[in-house]
Amino acid sequence: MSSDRDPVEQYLDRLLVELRGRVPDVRRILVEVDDHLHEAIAEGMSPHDAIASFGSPRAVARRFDAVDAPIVPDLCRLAWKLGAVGLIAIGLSGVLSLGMRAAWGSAFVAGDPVGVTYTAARCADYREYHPGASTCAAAASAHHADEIEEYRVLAGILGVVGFGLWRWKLRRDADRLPIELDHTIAGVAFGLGGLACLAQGVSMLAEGTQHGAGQWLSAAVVALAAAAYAGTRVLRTLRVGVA
Amino acid sequence: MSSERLKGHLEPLLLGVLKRKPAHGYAVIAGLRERSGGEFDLPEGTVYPALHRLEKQGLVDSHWEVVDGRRRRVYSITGAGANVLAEQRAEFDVFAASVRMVLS
Repeated sequence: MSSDRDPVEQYLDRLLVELRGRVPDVRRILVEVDDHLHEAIAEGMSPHDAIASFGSPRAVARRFDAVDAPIVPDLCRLAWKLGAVGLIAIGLSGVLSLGMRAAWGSAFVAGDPVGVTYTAARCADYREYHPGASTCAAAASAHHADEIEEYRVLAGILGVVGFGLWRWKLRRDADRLPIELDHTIAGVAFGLGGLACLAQGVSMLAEGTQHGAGQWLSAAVVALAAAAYAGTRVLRTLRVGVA
Repeated sequence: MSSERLKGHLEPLLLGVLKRKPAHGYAVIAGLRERSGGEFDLPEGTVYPALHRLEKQGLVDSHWEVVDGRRRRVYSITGAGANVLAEQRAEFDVFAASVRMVLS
């Protein structure tokens, strides 16, 4: 096949390959695009510029796909993304818990409430994990803190994998959801969650620094930071949109 | 202005252009560009899918015409489209005024 074919014809061929849907719809799209490109060229644009300003065949085809596509997949992709971000936030709070533990000890992150007693068997379990602990309570705190950090960091790793999958396979430029819906939902969810964790952490802190306030405060710090970031994104979009 | 910024606003803008007179896709894009003072210079491939979507929603109608031997799809706004445009314009006026009040 000759390489000096009409570039518009070449473009339409590539678009035909990319388009899905009913044959009459595909034919109509090709006629409309053909008419558009020829009119642009007749108005003085070069074929290359006319094609470039129309967009790549794949991108154009995906937008036509979206005309008939149900909105549920877009919502599922959004839920996936937000779930992954939530897990990453949990992972970060695990890392922050590690820092708090290093600074203020295990009981700050995961100390049991006042009055909790341990059976001999339970105490032996805790001491098996932390033989160097001076008391049952200290062994229990260290064990609980281990769990908090490990589970949260594991959740974070899962979140990173999930977010990577979203970026790689699930992200779409032409979904039909309102702009900044993701940041709006994230901002509200993280904001409410962060405030609830903060209230719980402060309440536990009021009882003393050895009763596990850190597990809530670490979550609150990460959630409120995420809420602030999401809120900033929404406000920036609103501001630019009306400038 | 980026096409991302226009997300959610493209359909009413197209209805606004078609409210003046029926037009084919190329003329709709040109009208959008001219009436926005060149601000809305979109990737042209975004406009046709939006026109098709509006047609499926019953907000625009279309028919073939032949011009200079070439078939051309001409779009016109429907009564339902005009009603939706009026509603969206009113909503946008309130929204824009509210945002300006907050930001000013």
